[in-house]
Amino acid sequence: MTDIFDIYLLEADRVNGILLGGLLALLALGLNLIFGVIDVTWICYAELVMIGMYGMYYLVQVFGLPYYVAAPFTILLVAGLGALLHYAGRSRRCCQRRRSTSCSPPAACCSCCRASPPSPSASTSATSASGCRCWQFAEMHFSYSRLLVFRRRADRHGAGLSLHDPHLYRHRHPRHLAGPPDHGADGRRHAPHLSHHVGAGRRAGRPRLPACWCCNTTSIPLSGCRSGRSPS
Amino acid sequence: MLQYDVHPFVGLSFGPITFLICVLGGLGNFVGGFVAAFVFAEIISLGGLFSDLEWGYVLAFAFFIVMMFIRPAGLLARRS
Repeated sequence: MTDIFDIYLLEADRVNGILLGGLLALLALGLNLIFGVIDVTWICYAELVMIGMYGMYYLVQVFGLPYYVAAPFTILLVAGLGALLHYAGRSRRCCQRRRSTSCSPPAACCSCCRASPPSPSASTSATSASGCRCWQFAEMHFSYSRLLVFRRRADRHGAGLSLHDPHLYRHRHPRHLAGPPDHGADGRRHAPHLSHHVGAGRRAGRPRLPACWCCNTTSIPLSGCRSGRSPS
Repeated sequence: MLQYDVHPFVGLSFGPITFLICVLGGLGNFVGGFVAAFVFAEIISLGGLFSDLEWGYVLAFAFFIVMMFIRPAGLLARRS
């Protein structure tokens, strides 16, 4: 057993547990990313990591490069190997997924949205023409819904602080794009416009009369607000 | 210190464990995988602190089996 788990924790304590946890978390996040986005359980992931370890060993120890110079080269090496692996195994996977013996051109299989194959000419996106809702990149099919789920999870867990501006999102909302609403028949502003602003969840608890957007009063007579606009 | 030998079969030492951690945290669940990796490594390391290092692995795998019975969808899976 010591052959298989040849991990040398020279002193096993909590700090080394955290070190080992960081290593395992790095590897597990990579595997999770592959599984979550393109739905492939990548068995040979650890072997590519092994090649990366060899690359670092040779570049740093044998060729004497500094660490931070060697790391990008190793990343490029492993990425190139992953791409090579992908292209080498592509046609066979295609046949297996379609469960047919004849493997027509590679665009004939779309793994994410099994409904209909995307058109071969669409290299960047095949959304509307063939009904395929996925993004093709380097002969891989990324389903839009999976990408959205990934984006949403990244937003929810901290990465949103840098990736995602709630103000930008709010200004893209169709209700917001429609502009400020006219006054309702009761002289109030429509609430739905406010419901998608920042802090809407907090505001939803207490009913509150929103101010008129043109004259900034809360009580608006039926004849119209002070600026002379008549309510619709 | 944390040291690895590099040899052609080094993938066997962490490949299955990595996949196991992904399953423990829930496949495709990023935070679950992250938390599960640290939980797993702490169990291994603390088991190695009190006994041999192999017993840490025994404890960790036993923990994995128990968690698969209790929460099959992952550590941080939502209740459906």
